[in-house]
Amino acid sequence: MTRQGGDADDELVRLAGQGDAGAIRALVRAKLPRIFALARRMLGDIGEAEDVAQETFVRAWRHAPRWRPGEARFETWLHKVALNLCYDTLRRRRGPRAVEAPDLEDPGPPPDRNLQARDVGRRVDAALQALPARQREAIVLCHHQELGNIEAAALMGVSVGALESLLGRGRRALRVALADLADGR
Amino acid sequence: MGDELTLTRFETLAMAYGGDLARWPNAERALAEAVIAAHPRETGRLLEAARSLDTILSAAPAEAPSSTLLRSIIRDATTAPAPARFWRWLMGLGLGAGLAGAAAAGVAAGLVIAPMAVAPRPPAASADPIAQASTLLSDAPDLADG
Repeated sequence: MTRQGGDADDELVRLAGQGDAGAIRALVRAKLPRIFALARRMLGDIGEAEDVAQETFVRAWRHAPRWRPGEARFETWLHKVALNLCYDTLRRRRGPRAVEAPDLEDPGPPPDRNLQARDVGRRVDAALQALPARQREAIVLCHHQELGNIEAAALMGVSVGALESLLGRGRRALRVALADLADGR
Repeated sequence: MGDELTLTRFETLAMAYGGDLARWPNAERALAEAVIAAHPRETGRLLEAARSLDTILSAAPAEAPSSTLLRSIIRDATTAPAPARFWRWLMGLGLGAGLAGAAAAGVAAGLVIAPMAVAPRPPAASADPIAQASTLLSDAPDLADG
Protein backbone atom coordinates (compact mmCIF):
# COMPACT_ATOMS: atom_id res chain seq x y z
CA MET A 1 0.00 0.00 0.00
CA THR A 2 1.58 3.22 -1.06
CA ARG A 3 0.30 6.73 -0.86
CA GLN A 4 1.34 9.23 -3.46
CA GLY A 5 3.67 12.13 -2.73
CA GLY A 6 2.65 15.47 -1.41
CA ASP A 7 3.17 17.56 -4.54
CA ALA A 8 -0.39 18.80 -4.36
CA ASP A 9 0.28 20.22 -0.91
CA ASP A 10 3.57 21.93 -1.65
CA GLU A 11 2.08 24.93 -3.41
CA LEU A 12 -0.54 25.38 -0.69
CA VAL A 13 2.15 25.20 1.99
CA ARG A 14 4.24 27.80 0.14
CA LEU A 15 1.28 30.15 -0.07
CA ALA A 16 0.32 29.50 3.55
CA GLY A 17 3.87 30.41 4.50
CA GLN A 18 3.25 33.80 2.91
CA GLY A 19 0.11 34.22 4.97
CA ASP A 20 -2.31 33.45 2.14
CA ALA A 21 -5.67 33.02 3.90
CA GLY A 22 -7.16 30.91 1.11
CA ALA A 23 -4.27 28.44 1.25
CA ILE A 24 -4.46 28.29 5.03
CA ARG A 25 -8.18 27.53 4.90
CA ALA A 26 -7.67 24.88 2.23
CA LEU A 27 -4.92 23.15 4.20
CA VAL A 28 -6.90 23.16 7.43
CA ARG A 29 -10.03 21.80 5.75
CA ALA A 30 -8.03 19.07 4.01
CA LYS A 31 -5.75 18.00 6.85
CA LEU A 32 -7.58 18.69 10.10
CA PRO A 33 -9.95 15.69 9.95
CA ARG A 34 -7.09 13.19 9.64
CA ILE A 35 -4.89 14.90 12.22
CA PHE A 36 -7.78 15.18 14.67
CA ALA A 37 -8.71 11.51 14.12
CA LEU A 38 -5.10 10.48 14.72
CA ALA A 39 -4.93 12.41 18.00
CA ARG A 40 -8.39 11.29 19.06
CA ARG A 41 -7.52 7.63 18.63
CA MET A 42 -4.11 7.99 20.20
CA LEU A 43 -5.41 9.85 23.25
CA GLY A 44 -9.00 8.70 23.61
CA ASP A 45 -10.00 12.19 24.71
CA ILE A 46 -11.66 14.81 22.54
CA GLY A 47 -10.37 17.83 24.44
CA GLU A 48 -6.77 16.64 24.38
CA ALA A 49 -7.10 15.72 20.71
CA GLU A 50 -8.34 19.22 19.93
CA ASP A 51 -5.36 20.71 21.77
CA VAL A 52 -2.97 18.51 19.82
CA ALA A 53 -4.61 19.36 16.50
CA GLN A 54 -4.53 23.08 17.23
CA GLU A 55 -0.88 23.04 18.26
CA THR A 56 0.04 20.91 15.24
CA PHE A 57 -1.25 23.63 12.95
CA VAL A 58 0.41 26.41 14.95
CA ARG A 59 3.71 24.63 14.30
CA ALA A 60 2.77 24.09 10.68
CA TRP A 61 2.31 27.82 10.09
CA ARG A 62 5.58 28.54 11.82
CA HIS A 63 7.38 25.99 9.66
CA ALA A 64 5.61 26.76 6.39
CA PRO A 65 7.86 29.67 5.29
CA ARG A 66 10.84 27.31 5.48
CA TRP A 67 9.10 24.30 3.90
CA ARG A 68 11.26 22.63 1.27
CA PRO A 69 9.20 20.85 -1.38
CA GLY A 70 10.30 17.34 -2.19
CA GLU A 71 11.97 16.59 1.13
CA ALA A 72 8.91 15.00 2.69
CA ARG A 73 5.18 14.86 2.30
CA PHE A 74 3.55 17.69 4.22
CA GLU A 75 0.95 15.31 5.59
CA THR A 76 3.65 12.95 6.85
CA TRP A 77 5.30 15.89 8.57
CA LEU A 78 1.97 16.84 10.17
CA HIS A 79 1.55 13.28 11.40
CA LYS A 80 5.00 13.37 12.98
CA VAL A 81 4.31 16.64 14.78
CA ALA A 82 0.92 15.42 15.97
CA LEU A 83 2.36 12.13 17.22
CA ASN A 84 5.08 13.93 19.17
CA LEU A 85 2.43 16.13 20.76
CA CYS A 86 0.34 13.06 21.58
CA TYR A 87 3.28 11.50 23.39
CA ASP A 88 3.90 14.77 25.24
CA THR A 89 0.28 14.61 26.38
CA LEU A 90 0.56 10.97 27.41
CA ARG A 91 3.71 11.74 29.40
CA ARG A 92 1.95 14.59 31.20
CA ARG A 93 -0.75 12.27 32.43
CA ARG A 94 -0.13 10.89 35.88
CA GLY A 95 -0.10 7.15 35.37
CA PRO A 96 -2.00 5.24 32.74
CA ARG A 97 -5.47 6.53 32.14
CA ALA A 98 -8.08 4.11 33.34
CA VAL A 99 -10.01 2.40 30.62
CA GLU A 100 -13.66 3.21 30.94
CA ALA A 101 -14.83 -0.05 32.42
CA PRO A 102 -18.56 0.53 31.95
CA ASP A 103 -18.09 0.32 28.21
CA LEU A 104 -16.42 -3.04 28.60
CA GLU A 105 -18.86 -4.47 31.11
CA ASP A 106 -22.13 -3.94 29.39
CA PRO A 107 -24.72 -5.69 31.53
CA GLY A 108 -27.06 -6.05 28.57
CA PRO A 109 -27.86 -9.13 26.54
CA PRO A 110 -25.15 -11.56 25.39
CA PRO A 111 -22.83 -11.08 22.40
CA ASP A 112 -25.34 -11.64 19.65
CA ARG A 113 -27.13 -8.42 20.52
CA ASN A 114 -27.41 -5.73 17.92
CA LEU A 115 -24.85 -3.21 18.88
CA GLN A 116 -25.28 0.26 17.57
CA ALA A 117 -22.36 1.72 15.66
CA ARG A 118 -21.80 4.14 18.52
CA ASP A 119 -21.49 1.26 20.97
CA VAL A 120 -19.04 -0.54 18.72
CA GLY A 121 -17.07 2.66 18.47
CA ARG A 122 -16.88 2.97 22.22
CA ARG A 123 -15.79 -0.62 22.60
CA VAL A 124 -13.11 -0.30 19.96
CA ASP A 125 -11.92 2.97 21.44
CA ALA A 126 -11.71 1.47 24.93
CA ALA A 127 -9.80 -1.54 23.60
CA LEU A 128 -7.41 0.71 21.69
CA GLN A 129 -6.77 2.83 24.76
CA ALA A 130 -5.99 -0.29 26.76
CA LEU A 131 -3.13 -1.17 24.40
CA PRO A 132 0.45 -0.05 25.03
CA ALA A 133 0.89 3.27 23.25
CA ARG A 134 3.31 1.97 20.63
CA GLN A 135 0.98 -0.87 19.62
CA ARG A 136 -1.90 1.62 19.46
CA GLU A 137 0.20 3.98 17.36
CA ALA A 138 1.09 1.22 14.89
CA ILE A 139 -2.53 0.17 14.47
CA VAL A 140 -3.84 3.70 14.17
CA LEU A 141 -1.23 4.62 11.56
CA CYS A 142 -1.59 1.48 9.44
CA HIS A 143 -5.26 0.64 9.81
CA HIS A 144 -7.06 3.91 10.47
CA GLN A 145 -4.74 6.44 8.84
CA GLU A 146 -4.01 3.95 6.04
CA LEU A 147 -0.32 4.75 5.84
CA GLY A 148 1.98 2.31 4.07
CA ASN A 149 4.25 0.15 6.20
CA ILE A 150 7.42 2.01 5.21
CA GLU A 151 5.93 5.42 5.96
CA ALA A 152 4.46 4.24 9.26
CA ALA A 153 7.72 2.61 10.34
CA ALA A 154 9.64 5.76 9.47
CA LEU A 155 7.23 7.89 11.46
CA MET A 156 7.64 5.63 14.45
CA GLY A 157 11.40 5.42 14.07
CA VAL A 158 11.41 1.62 13.88
CA SER A 159 12.16 -1.01 11.26
CA VAL A 160 9.37 -2.53 9.20
CA GLY A 161 9.92 -5.78 11.08
CA ALA A 162 9.44 -4.03 14.41
CA LEU A 163 6.32 -2.34 13.06
CA GLU A 164 4.90 -5.73 12.07
CA SER A 165 5.63 -7.07 15.53
CA LEU A 166 3.81 -4.13 17.14
CA LEU A 167 0.88 -4.55 14.76
CA GLY A 168 0.66 -8.28 15.38
CA ARG A 169 0.74 -7.97 19.15
CA GLY A 170 -1.74 -5.13 19.12
CA ARG A 171 -4.18 -6.88 16.83
CA ARG A 172 -4.00 -10.09 18.88
CA ALA A 173 -4.89 -8.14 22.00
CA LEU A 174 -7.74 -6.38 20.19
CA ARG A 175 -9.04 -9.68 18.89
CA VAL A 176 -9.26 -11.01 22.45
CA ALA A 177 -10.79 -7.82 23.83
CA LEU A 178 -13.39 -7.62 21.07
CA ALA A 179 -14.02 -11.33 20.61
CA ASP A 180 -17.70 -11.07 21.47
CA LEU A 181 -18.22 -8.50 18.73
CA ALA A 182 -16.63 -10.81 16.19
CA ASP A 183 -18.79 -13.71 17.35
CA GLY A 184 -21.91 -11.62 16.98
CA ARG A 185 -21.26 -10.84 13.34
CA MET B 1 13.02 -11.11 0.59
CA GLY B 2 13.06 -14.48 -1.15
CA ASP B 3 10.73 -15.54 -3.90
CA GLU B 4 8.62 -17.68 -1.59
CA LEU B 5 6.31 -16.95 1.26
CA THR B 6 5.91 -19.54 3.96
CA LEU B 7 2.61 -20.11 5.69
CA THR B 8 4.18 -18.79 8.86
CA ARG B 9 5.14 -15.55 7.14
CA PHE B 10 1.67 -15.39 5.59
CA GLU B 11 0.14 -15.63 9.06
CA THR B 12 2.47 -12.90 10.34
CA LEU B 13 1.43 -10.60 7.50
CA ALA B 14 -2.27 -11.33 7.98
CA MET B 15 -2.02 -10.62 11.67
CA ALA B 16 -0.07 -7.40 11.09
CA TYR B 17 -1.81 -5.88 8.08
CA GLY B 18 -5.21 -7.53 8.17
CA GLY B 19 -7.25 -9.56 5.74
CA ASP B 20 -7.16 -7.19 2.79
CA LEU B 21 -4.15 -7.94 0.60
CA ALA B 22 -4.25 -4.37 -0.71
CA ARG B 23 -2.92 -3.30 2.69
CA TRP B 24 -0.01 -5.72 2.58
CA PRO B 25 3.51 -4.71 1.54
CA ASN B 26 3.71 -4.45 -2.23
CA ALA B 27 6.70 -6.78 -2.41
CA GLU B 28 4.87 -9.65 -0.75
CA ARG B 29 1.41 -9.30 -2.22
CA ALA B 30 2.07 -11.37 -5.35
CA LEU B 31 3.83 -14.02 -3.30
CA ALA B 32 0.82 -14.12 -1.00
CA GLU B 33 -1.45 -14.84 -3.94
CA ALA B 34 0.64 -17.89 -4.72
CA VAL B 35 0.40 -19.11 -1.13
CA ILE B 36 -3.38 -18.66 -1.24
CA ALA B 37 -3.55 -20.75 -4.38
CA ALA B 38 -1.39 -23.45 -2.83
CA HIS B 39 -3.05 -23.49 0.60
CA PRO B 40 -6.60 -22.22 0.16
CA ARG B 41 -8.01 -23.67 3.35
CA GLU B 42 -5.33 -22.47 5.78
CA THR B 43 -4.94 -19.08 4.18
CA GLY B 44 -8.70 -18.65 3.96
CA ARG B 45 -9.01 -19.25 7.67
CA LEU B 46 -6.24 -16.79 8.45
CA LEU B 47 -7.66 -14.10 6.18
CA GLU B 48 -11.17 -14.55 7.50
CA ALA B 49 -10.01 -14.09 11.08
CA ALA B 50 -8.05 -11.00 10.10
CA ARG B 51 -10.98 -9.55 8.12
CA SER B 52 -13.26 -10.03 11.08
CA LEU B 53 -11.08 -7.76 13.18
CA ASP B 54 -10.67 -5.31 10.28
CA THR B 55 -14.44 -5.01 10.05
CA ILE B 56 -14.80 -4.26 13.74
CA LEU B 57 -12.02 -1.69 13.71
CA SER B 58 -13.52 0.02 10.68
CA ALA B 59 -16.95 0.02 12.28
CA ALA B 60 -15.69 2.64 14.72
CA PRO B 61 -15.88 5.77 12.59
CA ALA B 62 -13.58 8.70 13.17
CA GLU B 63 -15.26 11.62 14.81
CA ALA B 64 -15.18 14.77 12.77
CA PRO B 65 -13.44 17.78 14.28
CA SER B 66 -15.86 20.40 15.50
CA SER B 67 -16.54 23.44 13.38
CA THR B 68 -15.43 25.49 16.37
CA LEU B 69 -12.00 23.89 16.26
CA LEU B 70 -11.76 24.35 12.51
CA ARG B 71 -12.70 28.02 12.71
CA SER B 72 -10.36 28.57 15.64
CA ILE B 73 -7.35 27.15 13.80
CA ILE B 74 -8.09 29.20 10.69
CA ARG B 75 -8.71 32.35 12.71
CA ASP B 76 -5.46 31.98 14.67
CA ALA B 77 -3.51 31.53 11.45
CA THR B 78 -5.09 34.35 9.51
CA THR B 79 -5.12 36.96 12.26
CA ALA B 80 -1.49 36.71 13.29
CA PRO B 81 -0.20 39.70 15.28
CA ALA B 82 1.14 42.47 13.11
CA PRO B 83 4.87 41.96 13.84
CA ALA B 84 4.83 38.38 12.66
CA ARG B 85 2.91 39.24 9.51
CA PHE B 86 5.31 42.11 8.91
CA TRP B 87 8.31 39.79 8.99
CA ARG B 88 6.59 37.27 6.77
CA TRP B 89 5.75 40.00 4.30
CA LEU B 90 9.28 41.26 4.46
CA MET B 91 10.71 37.83 3.79
CA GLY B 92 8.30 37.39 0.92
CA LEU B 93 9.69 40.50 -0.73
CA GLY B 94 13.26 39.42 -0.08
CA LEU B 95 13.88 42.58 1.88
CA GLY B 96 14.91 40.85 5.04
CA ALA B 97 18.54 41.05 4.04
CA GLY B 98 18.22 44.75 3.28
CA LEU B 99 16.67 45.53 6.60
CA ALA B 100 19.25 43.49 8.45
CA GLY B 101 21.90 45.47 6.58
CA ALA B 102 20.22 48.70 7.59
CA ALA B 103 20.21 47.51 11.18
CA ALA B 104 23.92 46.79 10.94
CA ALA B 105 24.44 50.29 9.52
CA GLY B 106 22.52 51.67 12.48
CA VAL B 107 24.85 49.85 14.85
CA ALA B 108 27.81 51.32 13.02
CA ALA B 109 26.30 54.81 13.23
CA GLY B 110 25.79 54.30 16.93
CA LEU B 111 29.46 53.57 17.28
CA VAL B 112 30.28 56.93 15.68
CA ILE B 113 27.67 58.97 17.50
CA ALA B 114 28.13 57.55 20.93
CA PRO B 115 31.71 56.35 21.23
CA MET B 116 31.61 56.58 24.99
CA ALA B 117 28.54 54.46 25.38
CA VAL B 118 28.69 50.85 26.45
CA ALA B 119 30.62 49.07 23.75
CA PRO B 120 28.28 47.17 21.47
CA ARG B 121 28.96 43.55 20.74
CA PRO B 122 31.10 43.17 17.64
CA PRO B 123 29.15 41.71 14.76
CA ALA B 124 29.46 37.97 14.60
CA ALA B 125 31.86 36.83 11.93
CA SER B 126 29.33 34.39 10.53
CA ALA B 127 26.38 36.77 10.68
CA ASP B 128 24.09 36.10 7.75
CA PRO B 129 21.33 38.66 7.26
CA ILE B 130 18.96 36.06 5.89
CA ALA B 131 19.64 33.75 8.80
CA GLN B 132 19.10 36.67 11.18
CA ALA B 133 15.80 37.47 9.56
CA SER B 134 14.84 33.81 9.75
CA THR B 135 15.69 33.81 13.43
CA LEU B 136 13.49 36.81 13.96
CA LEU B 137 10.79 35.07 12.01
CA SER B 138 11.02 31.96 14.12
CA ASP B 139 10.83 34.08 17.27
CA ALA B 140 7.69 35.84 16.11
CA PRO B 141 5.19 36.09 18.97
CA ASP B 142 2.36 34.23 17.30
CA LEU B 143 4.55 31.37 16.32
CA ALA B 144 5.97 30.42 19.67
CA ASP B 145 7.19 26.88 19.96
CA GLY B 146 5.22 24.68 22.28
